[in-house]
Amino acid sequence: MNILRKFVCCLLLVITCQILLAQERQKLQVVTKTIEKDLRDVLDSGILIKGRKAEVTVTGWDKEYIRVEMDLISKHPNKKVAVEELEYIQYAISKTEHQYVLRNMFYSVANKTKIRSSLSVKYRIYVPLSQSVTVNNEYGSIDLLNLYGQIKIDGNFCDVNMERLFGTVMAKLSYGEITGNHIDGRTNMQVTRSNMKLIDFAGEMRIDNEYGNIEISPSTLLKSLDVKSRHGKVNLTVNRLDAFNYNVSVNGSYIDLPEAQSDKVKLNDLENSYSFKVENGLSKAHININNLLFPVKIVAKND
Amino acid sequence: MSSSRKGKHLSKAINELPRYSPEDGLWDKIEQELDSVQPQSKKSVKGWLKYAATLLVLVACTFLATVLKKNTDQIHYEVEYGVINYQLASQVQANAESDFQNFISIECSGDRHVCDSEEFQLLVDQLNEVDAEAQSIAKMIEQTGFDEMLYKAKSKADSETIRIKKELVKLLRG
Repeated sequence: MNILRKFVCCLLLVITCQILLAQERQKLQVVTKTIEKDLRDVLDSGILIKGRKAEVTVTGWDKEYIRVEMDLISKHPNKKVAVEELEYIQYAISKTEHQYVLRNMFYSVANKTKIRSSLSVKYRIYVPLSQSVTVNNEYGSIDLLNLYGQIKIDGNFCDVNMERLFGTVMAKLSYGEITGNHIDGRTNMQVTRSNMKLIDFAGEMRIDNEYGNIEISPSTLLKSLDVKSRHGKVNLTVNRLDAFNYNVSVNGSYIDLPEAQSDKVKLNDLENSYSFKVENGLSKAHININNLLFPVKIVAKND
Repeated sequence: MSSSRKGKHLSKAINELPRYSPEDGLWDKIEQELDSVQPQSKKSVKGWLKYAATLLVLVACTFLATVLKKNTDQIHYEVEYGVINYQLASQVQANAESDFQNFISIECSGDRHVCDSEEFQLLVDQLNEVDAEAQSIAKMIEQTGFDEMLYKAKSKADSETIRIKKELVKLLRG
């Protein structure tokens, strides 16, 4: 009897939740204006995307020109309102001497009218593999895939995803979530108030981090890794601990190593700091990590 | 039969033949009809020209439609289920910010050493920075509506504000 009563209570709870959710979610009319353009000239500095509240996806492809697809999106329960307010999204595709510039703006009669719809923009851009790409965006996302050229990112309140980047990457990001997979080349990242997860990266990697947690897992092709972090945890995962040379120091917190290696952590009482320095061979890449107030944890998967 | 008799018979037969005369105005009619009939070859060329022109117009229309489809904006309509226009309660938030500023002013009105410390000032600067970001988000909400994207940004700014305020309070409490 007790079980039945519990079951009925659960059922009622689920039904109530469903009703509340159904009330919260609305049927939205989505009006999308799509712009498609092929940019045929090859320019030295490639393409600059200045997005606002935009989902930007840049993909390298095997063709010799740039293809731009833009969706301007307006959502509102009333289709008429959605169609009317779609006009408040504006865009420009221009060409300077060295660069194509794509941008979007939101404009509503000198911003005096309060928007009733939800407005946003999606960019799908296909570029030649070695093309230079610069992306500035806020309140949206940036996806970069299969690129070999120079890449610059400046993101504020953006989720950033990078996959298969093999050139020079310079990123300045704040208030976001960053993920990276198969990055090789020279990478320099300045990250503030963002969490970051980089897997299977190689080449030269420099990370300057503040107020965010970092998870990093380099491949055996790593050349060097320098991490300077403040107010954020650093978790490093390696295949084997002896695959790299280490110079790790932490002020105001501790270093967490696999148990077999924990005796190699040195404490400096005067400076309230810990350090872990190990040389495993000249041919091996150097990993330098410096953290302030938060710990560094090193995990070896195959030891 | 003598030749004079044959001649008489022939004259008689000729005289008995029926006599026909053209209607009045027949020649005029024929002339008019001839005028209205165009040479056969000219008619044929003009006909082909009409067909060719029609075909050309059709081809041009198809081409234009293709080009326009490619270069002009396309508009799609869809329906989805989602949530927009959350209650922002920006006024409540503004009041909360103002309350916290008052709290800091009161706490630091006495000659408290902690309020002059570098760490404290750094946190106050950070709070102002995050506050500026929150204001930018509020402006963006005015311009583009409040949806998941901005809700996420606002949550991030709020959690940073809370973290900084906690640290400030911790410092003030010693």
